[in-house]
Amino acid sequence: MTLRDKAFLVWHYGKVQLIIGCVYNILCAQLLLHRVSYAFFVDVFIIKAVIYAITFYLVTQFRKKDGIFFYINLGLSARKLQLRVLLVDFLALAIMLTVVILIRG
Amino acid sequence: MVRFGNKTVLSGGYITSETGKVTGLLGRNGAGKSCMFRALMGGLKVDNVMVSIDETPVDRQVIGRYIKYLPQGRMLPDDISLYKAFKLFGVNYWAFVNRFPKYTRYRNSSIWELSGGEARLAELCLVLLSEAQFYILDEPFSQIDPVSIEAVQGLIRERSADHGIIVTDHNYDAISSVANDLFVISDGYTAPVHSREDLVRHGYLR
Repeated sequence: MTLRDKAFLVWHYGKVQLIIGCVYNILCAQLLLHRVSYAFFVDVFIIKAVIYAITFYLVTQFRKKDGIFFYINLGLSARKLQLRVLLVDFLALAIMLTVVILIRG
Repeated sequence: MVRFGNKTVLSGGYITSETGKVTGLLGRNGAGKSCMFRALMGGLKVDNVMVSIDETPVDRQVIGRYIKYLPQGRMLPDDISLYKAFKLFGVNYWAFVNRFPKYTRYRNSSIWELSGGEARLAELCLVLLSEAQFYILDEPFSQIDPVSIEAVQGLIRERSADHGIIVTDHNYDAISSVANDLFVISDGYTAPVHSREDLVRHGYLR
């Protein structure tokens, strides 16, 4: 399996979480850019973790029962996929906050 | 042990598969056949699951590399084309079309655009034609028309030449004609089947 295929599968498996995460990241970046102090940083990550947990729970509840075997058959486990989605999501937040810090100076 | 609420679905299960053989698994509805497979493949969390190939334990985080599983329900996501799915599984779509020519027109179709039987056949071939050492097929004959069942039986026999296959289905005739060994799940345990009387004794047939 190519890297492109792996990236596709991570996106496909976690797109709901990634889209919600992206909206949240943009919102936080906007807030930090214009109004809020840097003390808000810790809260940003705590709220992010809570949102991620809720989204994960809802997505798991509504996912097709046997849909997971598509990924398992490809040699991926649900845990591994979830970790990759989590990593991408938090990495995107970290990058966005770094850009905000650089802009604010 | 697999329990749903107060109901114990499966107390203990043991099944073997050998390269070059098709193993059939029978059992009444709710006997725990699918639960056993789901647990084995990591789709159901249970304690004490052990999978080994040639007496070497298999890393269950990557079990799909060694064992491919056709679940009872729809496996393919709705928003992936058949061609893309075959590509991800490393299966040549045109080799599949050579066997079932009507799928030429479904190259860019998603699984939900196909009828139930067509989708089932596509998923079955996707699993059976992909590379693995063993295959587990959960109700591969359900929803499939009699002509295609013959083709599927042919494909199972062909693939069993150098792979091990476990099949479960309620189509007793279809399964018994391809299986070399038969097992039955009854009262939460698996038992070998040597004759029709064994199935009667375990309450699967009358």
